[in-house]
Amino acid sequence: MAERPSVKDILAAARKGGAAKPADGGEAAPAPEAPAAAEASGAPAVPPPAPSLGRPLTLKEKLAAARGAAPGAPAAAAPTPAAPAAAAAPATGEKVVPPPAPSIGRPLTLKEKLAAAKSGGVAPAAAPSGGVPVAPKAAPAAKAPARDLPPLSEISDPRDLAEALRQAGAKKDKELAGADAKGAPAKPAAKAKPEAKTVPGKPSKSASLAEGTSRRAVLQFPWIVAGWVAFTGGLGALTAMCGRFMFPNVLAEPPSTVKVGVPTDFAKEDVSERWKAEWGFWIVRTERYNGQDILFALQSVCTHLGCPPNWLAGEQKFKCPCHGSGFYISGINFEGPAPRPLERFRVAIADDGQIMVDKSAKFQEELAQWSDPDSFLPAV
Amino acid sequence: MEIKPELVNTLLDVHPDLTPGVMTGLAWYFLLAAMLNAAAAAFVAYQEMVSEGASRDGLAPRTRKLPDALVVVFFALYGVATLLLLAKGFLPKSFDVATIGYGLCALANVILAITAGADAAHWAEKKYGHDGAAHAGPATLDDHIPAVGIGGPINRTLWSIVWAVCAVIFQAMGLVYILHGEYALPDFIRNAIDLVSGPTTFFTGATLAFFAMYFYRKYLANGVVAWWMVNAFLMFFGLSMTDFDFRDIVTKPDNVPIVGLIVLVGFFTWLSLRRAVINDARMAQGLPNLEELDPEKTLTWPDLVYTELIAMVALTIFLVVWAIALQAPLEQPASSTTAPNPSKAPWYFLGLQEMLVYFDPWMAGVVLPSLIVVGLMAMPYIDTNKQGNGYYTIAQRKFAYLTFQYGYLVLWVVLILLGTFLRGPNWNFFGPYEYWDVHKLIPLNNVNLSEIVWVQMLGTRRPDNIILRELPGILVVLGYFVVLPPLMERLFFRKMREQGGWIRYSVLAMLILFMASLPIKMVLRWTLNLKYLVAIPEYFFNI
Repeated sequence: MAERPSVKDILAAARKGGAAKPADGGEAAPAPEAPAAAEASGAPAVPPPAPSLGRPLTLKEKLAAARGAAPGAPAAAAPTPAAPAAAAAPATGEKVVPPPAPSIGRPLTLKEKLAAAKSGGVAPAAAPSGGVPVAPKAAPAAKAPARDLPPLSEISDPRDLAEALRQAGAKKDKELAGADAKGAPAKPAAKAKPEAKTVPGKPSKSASLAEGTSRRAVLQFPWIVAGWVAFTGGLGALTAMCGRFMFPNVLAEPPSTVKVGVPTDFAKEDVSERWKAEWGFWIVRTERYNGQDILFALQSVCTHLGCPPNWLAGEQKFKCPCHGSGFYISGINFEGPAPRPLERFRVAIADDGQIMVDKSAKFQEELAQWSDPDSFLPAV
Repeated sequence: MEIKPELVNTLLDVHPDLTPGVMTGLAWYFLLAAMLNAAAAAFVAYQEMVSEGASRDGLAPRTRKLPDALVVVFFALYGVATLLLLAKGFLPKSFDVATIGYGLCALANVILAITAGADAAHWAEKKYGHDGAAHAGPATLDDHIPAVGIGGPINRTLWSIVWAVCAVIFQAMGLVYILHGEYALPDFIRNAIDLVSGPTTFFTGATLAFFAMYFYRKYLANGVVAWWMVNAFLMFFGLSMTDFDFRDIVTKPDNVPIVGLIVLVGFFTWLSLRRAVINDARMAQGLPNLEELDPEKTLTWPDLVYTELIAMVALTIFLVVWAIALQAPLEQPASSTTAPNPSKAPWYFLGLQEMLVYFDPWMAGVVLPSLIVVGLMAMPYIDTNKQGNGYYTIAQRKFAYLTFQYGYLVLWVVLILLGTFLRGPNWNFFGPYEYWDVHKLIPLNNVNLSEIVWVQMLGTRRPDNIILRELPGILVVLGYFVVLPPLMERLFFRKMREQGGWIRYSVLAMLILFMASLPIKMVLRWTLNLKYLVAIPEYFFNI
């Protein structure tokens, strides 16, 4: 199997100038080239070029010619459009597209061009040339103005550049075609499929079929799968690690219980602030909640947005510095935006007679939890 | 041993209104105010006064001209004063450099003001004679050519004299302070202002002022009126600085940007308002608006990019100087169990913090801020008014102007001012000249609507069933959001609904109702002591 030409090769060939000439490879490029040439004969989709070619081709013409992969197309184009399209059809074995307009006195419309393109490259105005069947070997390019192109690095005229590129493309086509031809048994020209690689860079079905079994395609498959598997696995591992992070081996939390002294330490209608800074609660002794003289631990967190309120002894209220919420000594909210009373912590008498405050349990008045015997202690 | 008065004051915890430092600062402040007014007088006396959009065609050239000698004298006096102050260390101590330098600057201001006023009077007499009867002659470039819609031409003689007098008054006040005259804002004025200030009066007053600005915009757009307001602000601010508590709050490094914000927001609001008034009047007369008149376009490169570069460098320098001059205040270490009193958000969030006083956190902290953002994004999709694109106008976009400016100026900027200057310890409201007393008692016993309805009005106890208990509030809220939109559509938004369709209108109505809920809730709190319409603390749901 012939190797694909490297870019260097192509450029070198382009510099030589003649490599693209089918005449050179007359025998090396047997099958597909022939129909290409035949098609070319029916490819005057190109705006009518000067038959004499007394001037260099325009860029447009060159591009059109390159698309048709028939360098000699203009040369082969005949001035008389009257010839039946059938003349071209048998030669290529193609579906025939009726000529959109008998006269080619004008450039084709976009619609016509599209129709032509759909038909697979057979020219609509098959106008071929008074029915002169072009022989496969009538290497049209040979008659094309075989200009000597300067080396690629020295090309300054865009038309020369286009020509060089076209020639390079033609050579590539040829070589690909040659590869195909070698890979498959040679076929008669008439039977060659029209898709046989006439447009460079757009692999035909047969070409891709041929490549479908190539090494490269076979090797690509597992790599992609492996990549995705690795990615998914990595993502899963990361998620698992994040999940594990939520459950540390050691939880450095301060103990949730603290002993605050014996009940007799606390005066009537008083708020002890000793445990506010470190533990976040007040010990309150008051009769004003339900008429009984009770002790309880009130969490020093405002129920509005969580600021720590201050105990104002003069006003006998807790007052929040952030939005002005106010609470009675009992913890009941009465001013500002706080929607509910402060919360109590669990209190109990420890074995040594001290009050033990347990911050892990809370009691909320609006949920009727303040009647829970764990939420307060009777004062003595 | 000499005892400094400041030390005594500090030891006795006295709050002195006037200290030597404050008086020096005030002297220079009033010098600046006098200079501004002298410059205004000179501008009115000498400069060409062709307002926006007015044509110069066919007008006789001007003959008024700023005398070179005046410029030379003015800058020479300021220059000598600067040199004196710079050379302070090399001069003998008995030489009171600060006072002499100040005197030179004051002299420059007064010369500029009096010359401008006198020159204007002299010029008018020369041109029109003693009686001024010839004023009705054809306009020349010596006259004030007013903009369309702002009113007639001003009397340049009169106003250069008025601004000159203002300059002299400000300068006299400055001289009093530099010569150690102790003049503070009279107590009865401070007490009166403290008495009337409160969240209710402050917010209601701001709302009324906003609508006054809208309805009297034709007068407000006039440069003379605007300059009067600048002078009034300068005077009020300068005199207020003689009060210890006012000064203490305003000069806190945190709060300095807010003072700048007042100036900037005020100026740009006025500028856009003036151009809109002129444009509206021009378009009513069939004239092209100002932006059509001057469709000048400049190149991105180099014009815009160079401007941006220079602005960037200048702003950087400004910020560096500011950061060095006014150090960021460091407070106590953060703690979860203590908070400064008052605890204030960053200044730009103080409006939100004020909102939190009236609403549950999830409403004021989540729902309403999100709706502000969503509403701003929805604006182009709701607005069906194609007018007002690319030029200033109010008449063609009354609804858009009123809604946006009310939301921005009153519900955002004014609440920032309230939160910055007027909220003190325990988030109580304090007058601008009031001492921030931690123990100030303001009765704020708030009650929920269920309490008002069931206990106060019906005389029964509140039902145990949550839904039944909160039924009055739920009905009110539902009525607000269900009944009001169709009613508003009938009354105000018929055209809008016909143009934009029901979906647009419904979104608009919802956004407006949410926006209006803030002032409504504030008023309800102040008048009825209403805490929440619907209060279900059991499920963290309060409205």
